[in-house]
Amino acid sequence: MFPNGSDERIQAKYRELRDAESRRVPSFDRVMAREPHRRIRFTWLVVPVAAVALAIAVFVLMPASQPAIAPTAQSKPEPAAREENSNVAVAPAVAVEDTETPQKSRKRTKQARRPQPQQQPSDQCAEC
Amino acid sequence: MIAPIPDITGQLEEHHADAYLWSLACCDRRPEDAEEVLQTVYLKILEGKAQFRGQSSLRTWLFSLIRNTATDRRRRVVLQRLLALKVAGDEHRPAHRVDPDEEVFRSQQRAMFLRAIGGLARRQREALELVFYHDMTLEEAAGVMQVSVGSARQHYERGKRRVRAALEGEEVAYVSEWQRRENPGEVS
Repeated sequence: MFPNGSDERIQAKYRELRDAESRRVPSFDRVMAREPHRRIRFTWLVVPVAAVALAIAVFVLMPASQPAIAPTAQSKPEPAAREENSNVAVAPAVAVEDTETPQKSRKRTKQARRPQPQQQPSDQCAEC
Repeated sequence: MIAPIPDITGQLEEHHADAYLWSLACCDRRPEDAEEVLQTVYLKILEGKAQFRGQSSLRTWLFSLIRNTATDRRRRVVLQRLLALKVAGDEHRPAHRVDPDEEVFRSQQRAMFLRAIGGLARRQREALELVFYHDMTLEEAAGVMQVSVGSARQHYERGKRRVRAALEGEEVAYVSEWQRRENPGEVS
């Protein structure tokens, strides 16, 4: 197992070390009778745990709950404004078709009718 | 299938000296830490938290358990240092147990050897320790280290090479230092 002298030399060094350390082996009973091993104080452990929990709450849970938040007062008028704009864009096209070419093909008439359900009542239309 | 060990306490007592010396090696030769690790291991076994499955010899299993417990302890200590946590019981802990024979025990030659093996990688140190110090075969050492035999052999060979080089370097330095003290006027 030890083909060259250096292995035997290393082994001799280990033997020497073992002989020296073997003299100071504590008894089995002494090892078992030691105080129970040390524990981390609970109060200090709470700090990093709480910090990690808070970080998880902020960065993971909050983005998931954002859609459920009710729109604020500032964001409410925006959909109404969009509706008005769409009416302005759509309504003249319908009005023009209806007025200029009332006897065109059915197909074009259907296309013209499609946006009608989205239309506001005629009293809100600027051109009517 | 877990085979119950008859008279477990007796078996542990039988292997106690070897187990302590291995624990000492796993704890960088700090006796206090070695005793603590060994106590934890014994408690794990006696409380049934660690169970011998008969896949290796009892000694190999015990050594493996000691190694894993020492590794866990080392990680815990690193974590505590990182978090700057105080450990309960530290206040009453003696700084270092000084033995009256300490001076004699720590001879210069031994210190030199300890420095040489202290510079090795952990796996290399473990492989050499298990083979040379505990008279294990490479197969048994691989079982304790939980690596393949080929890997254990590599650690063993590399470790030997590095110890040899370190010892030669230390000896050359020692001899030149000795010569310098003997002939202080000589300039080399």
